[in-house]
Amino acid sequence: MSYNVDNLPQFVNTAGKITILTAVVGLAVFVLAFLFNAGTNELMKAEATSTASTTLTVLNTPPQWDIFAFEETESSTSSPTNSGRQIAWVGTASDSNAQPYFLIVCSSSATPTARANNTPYCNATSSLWAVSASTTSGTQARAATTTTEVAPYAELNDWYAWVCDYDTVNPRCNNVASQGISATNSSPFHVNRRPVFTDFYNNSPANPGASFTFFSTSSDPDSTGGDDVIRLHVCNENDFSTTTSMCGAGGYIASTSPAVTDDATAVYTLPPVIQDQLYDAYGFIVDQHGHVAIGSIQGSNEPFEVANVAPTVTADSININGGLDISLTNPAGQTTGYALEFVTSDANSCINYLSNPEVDDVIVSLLRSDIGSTTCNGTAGAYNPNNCYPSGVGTSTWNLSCVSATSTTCGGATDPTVEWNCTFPLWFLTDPTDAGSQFATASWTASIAAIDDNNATGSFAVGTSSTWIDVLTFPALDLLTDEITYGALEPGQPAGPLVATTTIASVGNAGLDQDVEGESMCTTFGISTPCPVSATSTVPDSSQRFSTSSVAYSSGLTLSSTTPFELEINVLKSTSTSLFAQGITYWGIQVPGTVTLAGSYTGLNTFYAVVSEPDEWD
Amino acid sequence: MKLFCAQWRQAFSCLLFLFILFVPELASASFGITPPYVRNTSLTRNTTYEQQILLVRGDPSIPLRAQIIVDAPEIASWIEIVEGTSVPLPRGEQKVPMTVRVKVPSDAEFKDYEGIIRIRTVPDTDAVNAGAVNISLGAQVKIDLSVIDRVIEDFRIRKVSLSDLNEGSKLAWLFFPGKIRFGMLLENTGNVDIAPSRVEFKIYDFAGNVLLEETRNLGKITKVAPYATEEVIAELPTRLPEGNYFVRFSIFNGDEFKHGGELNMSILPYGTLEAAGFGFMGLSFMHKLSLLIPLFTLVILVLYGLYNVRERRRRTSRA
Repeated sequence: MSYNVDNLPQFVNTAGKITILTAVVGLAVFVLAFLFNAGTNELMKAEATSTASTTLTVLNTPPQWDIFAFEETESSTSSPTNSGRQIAWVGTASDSNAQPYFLIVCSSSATPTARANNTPYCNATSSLWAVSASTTSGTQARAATTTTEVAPYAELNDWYAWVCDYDTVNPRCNNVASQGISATNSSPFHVNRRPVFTDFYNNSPANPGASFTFFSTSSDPDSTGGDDVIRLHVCNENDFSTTTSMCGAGGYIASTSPAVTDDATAVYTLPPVIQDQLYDAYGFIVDQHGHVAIGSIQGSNEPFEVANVAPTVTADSININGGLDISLTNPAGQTTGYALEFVTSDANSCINYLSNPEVDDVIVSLLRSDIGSTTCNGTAGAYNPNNCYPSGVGTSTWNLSCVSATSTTCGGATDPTVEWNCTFPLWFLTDPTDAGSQFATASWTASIAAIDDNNATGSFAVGTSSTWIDVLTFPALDLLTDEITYGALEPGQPAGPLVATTTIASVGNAGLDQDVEGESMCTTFGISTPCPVSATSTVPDSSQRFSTSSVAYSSGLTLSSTTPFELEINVLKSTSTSLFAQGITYWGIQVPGTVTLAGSYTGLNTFYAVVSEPDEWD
Repeated sequence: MKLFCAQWRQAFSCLLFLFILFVPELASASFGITPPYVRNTSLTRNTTYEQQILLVRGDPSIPLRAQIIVDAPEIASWIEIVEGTSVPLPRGEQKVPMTVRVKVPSDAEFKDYEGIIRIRTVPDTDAVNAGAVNISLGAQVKIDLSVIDRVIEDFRIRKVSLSDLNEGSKLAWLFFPGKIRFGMLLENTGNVDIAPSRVEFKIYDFAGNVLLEETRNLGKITKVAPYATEEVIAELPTRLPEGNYFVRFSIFNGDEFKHGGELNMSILPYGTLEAAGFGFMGLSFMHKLSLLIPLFTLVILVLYGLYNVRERRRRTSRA
């Protein structure tokens, strides 16, 4: 035999040497074993009698199930394992060698491969779900894994559990797989995937007390056992608890009911009283298993808007002058200080979100009821001091002053009402409405509209008939001159026509007639010292005559100090605050011829204002 | 004038000129009264009726006196001017009240009565302008009375008010309802004392759509004397919680519906207002029973015990 040493240098150089060395070593081993009985304990598993020896290698056996593996926590259609959560299997096995063992869970029925001093692994066609730590024989092993949204995890996942040891020589897996021990803990396990939430919005603004809807674009990818249903929860704050699937301390706004499979919505009915502004609203989608969506939309804030509504005035709250009839007390002028009270109500509360009054202005008309609030409508053009006082006329003409008692009568953001207190004047000619007056079938009332901080004006509320009050008749008169000057007369001189005049003006709110009486005249006259009865020094009362026109002296009415005489002077009711209705009385006197005492005679005539018949007022 | 008023710049001056020309000059001694009547058509015998009349004048810078003369021959003895027949009108006082008191005698005839009261103003100092006929201003009050022999029970509600209230409270098993205080300014237009016979509330939600509770006043309402106007209070229990409500109220005179209307009502959390709620009166019937039955039982037991003790003592003393 020849060798090409160039091609096989490592073999050629040792050729034959290995064989000899092998023989020498074999001999040495034999001698060692024979002479010293070496390896008796180390190598021999069975020792035959001294006369015959048999060798037997007993192989490692795999662990045996004591308790088949099962899902530690049910993972089923009704109780799936949420993605991101852990699923665990437990089982108990014993090893005949009392060796520790592993619990391994794979996705297929192919038996996994055990490894010496190492964890087993699943077959190549199988996915490893979980493998336990080395577990003492006879004790429970636990294998767990955290599920995810992505592969290899699907909604349904078959599992097969095995037990394997890790014998150093012959590691083995039990070829009996476990798939659970009852319906609720058996293969497959279910992974519940998160719902998908891509949009969140609402259709506000809405009025207080009205409803609006929160919308979402949302769905759930799970369909086993029927599509998973989802709910939209809307919270006041971003404090939704994934543990309890409830809003936190901030509280709920709305949630979907009943649950739906797609595009969950939630309807919110606003409280009857709520401030107009934007309110935070955080949206959360949760599926039927309490699994929340993730992403930027989950927990996003989509504020809703409460619309502004116009305030109202409670008609029965309108109160003029404390409910008492009005007495005018300033002839020819304005009587001030009358009170008007009412309550405004605003569903946006009595204060706005800045804690300022929600209702910040009012339109007020004080009117004679038969005029009507359509005519007396608050505008300046409707102003008529006889029967209509609108706030639109301005304070320089009608000094209405109204303030809301927000600080004392507004109970906070949930209180809709606030009291208003106004003061106003009335002119002397304000139409009376009490019995016997020109407008006895009417009364006085107020028509009021409230205006809020957004300039929304409510409808006019007219005081109900029970709140109406009367303006009392106010006969008042004034004189353009305060004395009658007859001039210089000679006793017994025949009197001509009545030429001296007195003019009275109606400075109240009624048409007037005039009762007239007068005292005798003398040079010593005083109010508490009437003239003595004297033919020579007293001009008797009857010497004066009066009439409504310049008639002859003899045709005039005779003055009396004891019996007032009503002169039908028929002074109209004044209808202008600057031009007063007037009436003229004509006077004449004839000094008796018996009077001998010359001098300045003094007397006192009295004009009594008498309310004329109402049909003579205009 | 045309030239004077020709230019817009001069228009205001023109108007002012005309105004001054035509405004009558008043003597500033104006005088008036309100109301100009003493009127009552439901007087009965032995009743007293008072009517206040305001004496007013335009310029109170000079002290005056009002001299009052009653010209009502048939009823002169019934009528009294409380302030007297000479009423001072002090400087600075633009209005001075004068009260006419009518005392109907027990033998007054049932019929209508008329009369006049004349009021004239004179200088407080008696001073007059010498050599002229001075003019005094006055006014006339018409008296129009009727004495009738029948009772009139009637009133008019002139004003209502509804205060905020605390919600009811619970003590053990007892619920003490909130107390609604409903004020009514009542004018007695009849001739006997009167008060509303009952007040009923229908309480709705704030929108006025859903009826939540019906309640009526507990206890009696203070009566108002004839011809007087006073505020009376009706107290009504409510078991509603805090919130805002809409109320429709009804006020009755006997069985006659007299007055109704609508108001807003706010019920505040318990303890918000320092106002007492209802006590025992406000409890429901069953809650009252739950208190009264044990109480009565206890009283009976005590009485029974006392009776037994007394009987024993009597037997002992006999023995």
